[in-house]
Amino acid sequence: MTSPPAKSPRVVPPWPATAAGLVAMTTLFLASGPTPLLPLLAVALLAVYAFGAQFQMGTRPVQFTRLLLFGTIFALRGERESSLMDAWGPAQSLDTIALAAAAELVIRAWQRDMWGGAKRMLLLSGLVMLIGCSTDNERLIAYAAPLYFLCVILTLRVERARATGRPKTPLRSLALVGAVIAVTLGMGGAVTRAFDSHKSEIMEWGMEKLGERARPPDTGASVSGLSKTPVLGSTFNQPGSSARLLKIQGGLNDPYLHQMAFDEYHNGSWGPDLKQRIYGPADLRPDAPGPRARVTRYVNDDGCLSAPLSCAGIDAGPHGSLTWAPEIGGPVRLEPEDVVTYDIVRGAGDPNQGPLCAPLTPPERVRCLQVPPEVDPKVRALARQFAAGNADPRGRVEAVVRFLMRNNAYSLTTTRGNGDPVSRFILERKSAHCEYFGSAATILLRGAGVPTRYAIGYYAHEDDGPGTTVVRAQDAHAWAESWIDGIGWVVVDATPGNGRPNHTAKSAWWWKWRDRWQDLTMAFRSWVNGLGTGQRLSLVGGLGLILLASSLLRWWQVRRMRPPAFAYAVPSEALAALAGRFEAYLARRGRPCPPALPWQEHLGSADESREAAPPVDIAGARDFVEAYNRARFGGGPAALAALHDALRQLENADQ
Amino acid sequence: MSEDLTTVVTRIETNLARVVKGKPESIRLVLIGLLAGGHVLLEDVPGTGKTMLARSLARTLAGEFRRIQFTPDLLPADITGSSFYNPREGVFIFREGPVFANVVLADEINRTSPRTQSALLEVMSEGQITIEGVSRALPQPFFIIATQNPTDFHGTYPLPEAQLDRFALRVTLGYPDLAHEMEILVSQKRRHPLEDLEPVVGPADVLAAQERVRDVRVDAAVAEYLLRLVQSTRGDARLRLGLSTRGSLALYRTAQARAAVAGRDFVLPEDIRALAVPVLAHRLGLDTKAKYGGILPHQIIEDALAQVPVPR
Repeated sequence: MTSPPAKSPRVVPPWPATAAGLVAMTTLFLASGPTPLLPLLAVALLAVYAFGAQFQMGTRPVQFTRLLLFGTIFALRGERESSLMDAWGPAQSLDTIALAAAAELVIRAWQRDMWGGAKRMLLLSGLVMLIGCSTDNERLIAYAAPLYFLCVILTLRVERARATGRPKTPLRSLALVGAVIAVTLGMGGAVTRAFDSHKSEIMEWGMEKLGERARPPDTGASVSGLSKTPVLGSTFNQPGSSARLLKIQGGLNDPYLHQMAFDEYHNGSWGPDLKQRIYGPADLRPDAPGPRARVTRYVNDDGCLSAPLSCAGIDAGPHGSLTWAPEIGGPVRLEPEDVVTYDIVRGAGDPNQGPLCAPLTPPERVRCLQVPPEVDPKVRALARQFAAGNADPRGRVEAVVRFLMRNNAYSLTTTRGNGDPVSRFILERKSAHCEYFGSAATILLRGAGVPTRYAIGYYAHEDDGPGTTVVRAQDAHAWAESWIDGIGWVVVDATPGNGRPNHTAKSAWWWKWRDRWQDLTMAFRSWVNGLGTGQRLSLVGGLGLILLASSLLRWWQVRRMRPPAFAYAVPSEALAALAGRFEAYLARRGRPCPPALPWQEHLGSADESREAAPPVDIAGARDFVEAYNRARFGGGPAALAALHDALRQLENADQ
Repeated sequence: MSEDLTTVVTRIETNLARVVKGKPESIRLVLIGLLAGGHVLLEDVPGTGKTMLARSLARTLAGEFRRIQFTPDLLPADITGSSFYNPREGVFIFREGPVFANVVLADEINRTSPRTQSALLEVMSEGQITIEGVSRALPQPFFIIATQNPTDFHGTYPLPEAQLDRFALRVTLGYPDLAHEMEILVSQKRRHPLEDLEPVVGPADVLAAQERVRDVRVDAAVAEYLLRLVQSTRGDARLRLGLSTRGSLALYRTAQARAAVAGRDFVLPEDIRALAVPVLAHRLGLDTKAKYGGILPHQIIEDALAQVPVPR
């Protein structure tokens, strides 16, 4: 690499491009939470103006800097998240992308040839701004968007002047300034208004494309698609997110993955919620014999496990500990958070009453037979009919399921209406989603004397290779579970076939690629986490040494190619002495001559600086130089005496 | 310096300035090219007076002037000449092409295919033509002045590097400033001043001047400076093609011419620095990355000028 030329001015990006970058970074900072990286990047961006741009794009120091910055960003972003699995979720990926774009912006600002670099800076800052604007803080967008557009307009003005060679349109006229302000405010206002009025559509689209941003689990539809306090409403798990929740490797023989059950119904909602349950240590027969399936969980979901009701055992491995609330059908909780895999021992026989099927305690039996008072008496009468028509509880179950499937259709949306929603659903034969079918089955079976509880979980149907099943948030499902004396707990799914997730769940071709990417990043992170501190240090040290060595090698190569220093042969020592004295004179008077510039040119530029009293006697120096040139390059005898006199005159004027 | 040379130069320049107004530096560069015994390439956007300058120079120099208008269908034989059979006498007779002249104007040289342009290679570097095994010398002095638009314009072919290397200088004219453009408008109101131009020097004067130029002294340190400049470009990573020895020779000769024109009998480093870009920039072949990274050839020359120390 050649060193920068002596005379060229410092190359810096146009200030509006830097301002746009700073505005975008500030928006991101305020939107996505404080991180020390953004202020550091901002300082690095401003430092260009102090030191001038030095880097040639595509060279090794730039690649090294890029690697360093991106590596730091990814490492720090992962560390920052409390949950291992959330670190690579869609929301955090957006922020990581924004940080990477901001780092690239700073690198581009430092490039030596700014040809087109300002436009690239604008693109990158636009990306950062866009990601930063995906926030609920409308005020932030309202202030930041107009400011950003102002910077964009000013940058485009500078770039247009640079590209066409014409001078910039001066911003002196009031009309022009007014127009610029009006345009930026207008655009900023339009953007804010668009975000505001179409926020729900934008959010829906974004959620559809990327999966939901992580929300606190108390709100209705959580990232897992299941609410821990189910409420019968107009929709269920809409829009169903395609975010992957579980991967089951090793074969699954039961599509119903039970997470937790509820036994208290009150006016359209099921309880008790998670906090009201009593958890105890769980012995879920981790050493049970039988074929095993390994489950990998990608989302924490309050630690709740999903497993088939009929499984013969659950093994959380040496690092995990299980607790559960057996009496109300779970949930089973796996701690700590960074244990991401557990094994399910497949049960043989159908229905297998594995450890998850805790026997019915008397208080539980009472609760599971209770038809709440708000349910319509006609429903009770209907339930009694089922009881009367079938002595065997299995027959009653079959009758209820047949009844519901025949009389009610599946629909993604429904109206809740006034009064008890389940009664309306049954009596008016409404179309609704699986929650209604499950609740109705529970209430009817209770009325028919079969202890039943309402269960939620996932319906696993998506194959991802031989023996592997993938469960996504859109596969959330609800059904009933009945206790049949002599058999135990059985799954009762009254939802019509076309309403089960294998029919209603959407599918897109690119999800598999997204899942592969997630697997890759998770594997990498768990590998990194598995390293001890010593190993990590040595890894980083090793990489750093390799890069350092290659940079040194490159530097040595470049140095070798550079021509060695040399000196021109001078015919006489007297002339060399005169030259030395003249240069010393120039240096003394504050105008040292660079080695690559001849004296005449140097004096010419000093003359052009138009100072009132130039420190050097230009005319006298010029005469000396002319005489010297003749002596030095002209051949023939040198008029040394005359040169001496001329120089002495200059030096005397010096004192 | 001999009066003859400066007189000759002044006469030519005054004559040319009657037609080409406001471009003394470009005129001087063309003259330097002529006196150095090289050829000149005038490159600029359309309508800036390139052909005008060439024709004026041709009229100023008494001697044979021929013009070749380069079109896409031009053949090499149209430039060099060809043999044709005379059936009455039963022999092949060589008919000389337009290149057999003292001053040749190659107008719009980049509008013809490289195949045709290759006919000029021997002509420009050696001053002779070899056709059918027979080498014929061209008249002396022999001066080609070529014009072209920059390659981005439609319907043009880029000149091959070998041919670019044979041009001693590349000169651009640029638009005139307001005062001079006003003069142009006024002077061309009724008739073109070109029609009133008379020759002021003859071929013998030009040859003598060229001979005088060769006597200009070049100190060893100055020659070393020239070579270090040229050699610094040969290792540059941004260049696919560095400067050749022909480039060094061209710079050497033109620096002598410049010193002679300025009335000196020795070359200064300033001469070399002033001529570096016109003489060397068009010979460089940029690497693709550099070309699309927005680097221009004259920047590379300027980098070299800013780095190589000047002899004191």
